[in-house]
Amino acid sequence: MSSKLRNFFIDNAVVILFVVLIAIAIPVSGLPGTFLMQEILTRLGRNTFLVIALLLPIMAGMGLNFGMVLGAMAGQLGLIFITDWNIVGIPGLLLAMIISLPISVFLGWLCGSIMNLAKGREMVTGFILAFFMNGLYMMVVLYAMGSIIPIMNPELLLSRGYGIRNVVGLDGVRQSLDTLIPLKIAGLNIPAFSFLIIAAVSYFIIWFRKTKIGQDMRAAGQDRAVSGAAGIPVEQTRILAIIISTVLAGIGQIIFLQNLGTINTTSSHEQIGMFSIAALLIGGASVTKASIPNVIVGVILFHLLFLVSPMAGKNLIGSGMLGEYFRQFVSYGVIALALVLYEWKRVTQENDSRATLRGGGAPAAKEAKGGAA
Amino acid sequence: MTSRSLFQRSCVLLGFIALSVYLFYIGKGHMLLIDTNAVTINGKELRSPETIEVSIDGKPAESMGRAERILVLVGGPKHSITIEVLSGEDKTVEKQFTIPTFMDSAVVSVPAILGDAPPESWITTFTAPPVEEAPAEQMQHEQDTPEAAAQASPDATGAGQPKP
Amino acid sequence: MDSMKRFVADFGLPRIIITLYLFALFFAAPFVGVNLPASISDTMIRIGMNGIMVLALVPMIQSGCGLNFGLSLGVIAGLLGATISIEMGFVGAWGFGAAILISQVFGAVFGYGYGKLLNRVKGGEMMIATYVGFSSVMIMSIAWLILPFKDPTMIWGYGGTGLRTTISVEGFWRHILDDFLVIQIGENFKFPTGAILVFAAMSFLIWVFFHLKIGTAITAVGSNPTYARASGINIDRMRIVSVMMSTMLGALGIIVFQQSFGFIQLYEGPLYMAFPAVAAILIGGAGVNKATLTNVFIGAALYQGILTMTPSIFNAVLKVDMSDVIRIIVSNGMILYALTRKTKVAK
Repeated sequence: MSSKLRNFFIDNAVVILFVVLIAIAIPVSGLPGTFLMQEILTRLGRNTFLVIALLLPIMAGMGLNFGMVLGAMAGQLGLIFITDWNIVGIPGLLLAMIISLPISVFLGWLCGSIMNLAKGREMVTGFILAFFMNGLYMMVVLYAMGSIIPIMNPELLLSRGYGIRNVVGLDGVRQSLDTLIPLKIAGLNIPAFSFLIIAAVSYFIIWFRKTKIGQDMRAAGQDRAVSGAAGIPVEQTRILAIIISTVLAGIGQIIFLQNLGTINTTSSHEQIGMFSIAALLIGGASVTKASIPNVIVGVILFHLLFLVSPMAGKNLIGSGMLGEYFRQFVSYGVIALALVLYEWKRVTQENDSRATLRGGGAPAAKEAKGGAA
Repeated sequence: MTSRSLFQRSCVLLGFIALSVYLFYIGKGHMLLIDTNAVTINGKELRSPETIEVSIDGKPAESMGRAERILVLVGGPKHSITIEVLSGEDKTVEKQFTIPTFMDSAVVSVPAILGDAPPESWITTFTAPPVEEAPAEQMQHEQDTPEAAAQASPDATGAGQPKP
Repeated sequence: MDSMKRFVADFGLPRIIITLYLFALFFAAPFVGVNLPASISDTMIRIGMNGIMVLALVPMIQSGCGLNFGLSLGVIAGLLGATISIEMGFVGAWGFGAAILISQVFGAVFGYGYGKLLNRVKGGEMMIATYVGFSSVMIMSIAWLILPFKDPTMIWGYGGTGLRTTISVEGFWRHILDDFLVIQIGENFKFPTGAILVFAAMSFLIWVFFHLKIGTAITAVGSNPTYARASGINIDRMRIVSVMMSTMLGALGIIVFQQSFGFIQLYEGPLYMAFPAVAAILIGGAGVNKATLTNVFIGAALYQGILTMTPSIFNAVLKVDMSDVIRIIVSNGMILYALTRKTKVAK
């Protein structure tokens, strides 16, 4: 095997592993191909935007942004309000996005600032911050709404008179985005408008990377110290990355929920961070490098796994739960793997550069000194 | 912050606010009750024909008899109603009407429209007790508490503390 | 005034707020009709239940491995010990002892592997700990489904495969520590002497350990790695020892927890068990790379106190149960505070 082919396999090990895994699991599960294709198309339209929200923080050297959940919460708050005011259709979705905007910006700023206080530990901090914010979110949604925050529609409230009910139906805006441009090819429903929006935001990311601020962000991500010395406002740039990420997550969550058609007030946002991050990593991204192809490939593979695992598990040992646990194991495991690979590489490089300083040893490492954990 | 960027940011903010108001206006949902009950306007009693077919905004038509109400959910202020009379004199009437933004439920009176009553009398606010026909329920009533749902949420959970 | 200011800065504003909050709760109790003896009794029981898990975090913090979010690995070791002990049919003190013994074996093995992994990823331990912990819980969930357990109290009825989600330890070793030398005063106050004794004993052992040569070596590795290396201490080996200790203590901790709680929780139960312990030790004054036994005691007491008192007081006063939300905010807020603090020790 030529060296170039071998390098291809090593670089894309994770993706190849998953393709093989899924190729085996699909026939075992017994699910028909057309069903899978339709599901994947729907899920691409639904989830891709959220995964794209993760790209900028990675570029800025802040690692996997577990704090994107904050954006999801903002998006949900927007949706709750427009449902309360009964604004329907595309105007409803747009209004929800506009409402979520200031909330996302504020939460993103908060998240970025806190992460700046914990340099080197951005990922854990974002991880815990998401849980913390979840508590505040619940305080708002379960106790303040209906009492301090006026809610016009009493049907939205719990029986005790305040607090939003567990399940909020989005009948007014359900599928509004997906059916805006109805497209049917070979018997499959394609959410054309959602794809258009995804293409637009992808283009935005690509364009942003080339702007001055985008270049600053990349520089800050590669090496904080050198960028700072070069005059780049590293702290603000990092916060900006998180703010944009949070705003995109808010919009992404709105797109996600309008497709599902219901909000689960306390839990719709919870797993979204983990799923999006796992999908991105399965698509071949790493803690320091991620691009649009990683997003698309990742969403497809991750969701295929999602779909076939329960049935495959059932057919293998008669328990659907096996597939479920396997799927969760894979999600957690791929994140663990990505983190280990990243830290391992970083430690090895640091050791190498230290060895040269001591006089002797492997050639010095030249990058990833702005590491995030 | 320079005064120019302050001006720019204020413009953007105002733009968003204006956009929000606009979206609110064109997106406000309404519950229309198409009503064929007899109404009395200006002393004259107007009644609906025996069978008609009604269509709102070009949606599939529904047939109605006398003294009935059907529910149609719409979004936005301006709508059209097409009434096709099937019994007696065949005629088709198409009219445009506007729902005030803050009127959540509106009764649209078919006899008033057919009887050429003044447009202000076509739409009235719906205030009576709930209609017999199953209204589209947007949220189901559940008795579960949020605490039960919060228990299931992942966080720094004290793993199953025994209740005192 | 100066020393007061220094105390506040050292102790940390959030901790002071939490302490005052707890005192306020205790103070308000008799006025709102909450039974104070019962509350104190509950708090003591919970401290006995959870104390060792909090203790388990100390070795890894001291050795510089950070907060052990992967404590679930130790919990899994404990679960294996408990289930195998029941499967072998041991009851009472024998069952309890067997469970502990088996769990320590697994804990040592898991800890060793876990420690070797963490040695390769110095600097990023906490995040990896979290996800290694999560992944292990999921593998074990698959294992619980397919491992050949046969005991009827543990497997699903009607011929299903695998173990039940919760297994009762009634009839085996339920409350074996709580009721050991228990002090019962009146109807409402029960002091779980056995559990508290075990907690105290383990704490003492840890205290002794850290005053031995190996203990001070571990502390040196965490607080000043350059000095440690210069003194000839094998940093990697010390870290592995600390991780093994943490995992083994975690295994012990979950068994003590189960005897009081009454149930073994399998599958996704252990997923988030590390977090309350982490929050507790941080509330007690520990930092990301320094923890003392005082931190453990104060932390466990404060944390469990809040957990016990908040629901009862809030329910009595506001007729609303915000305890869950408050717990989330307090625990995670505390961890957040610790993560963002500038560490005084140079790394």
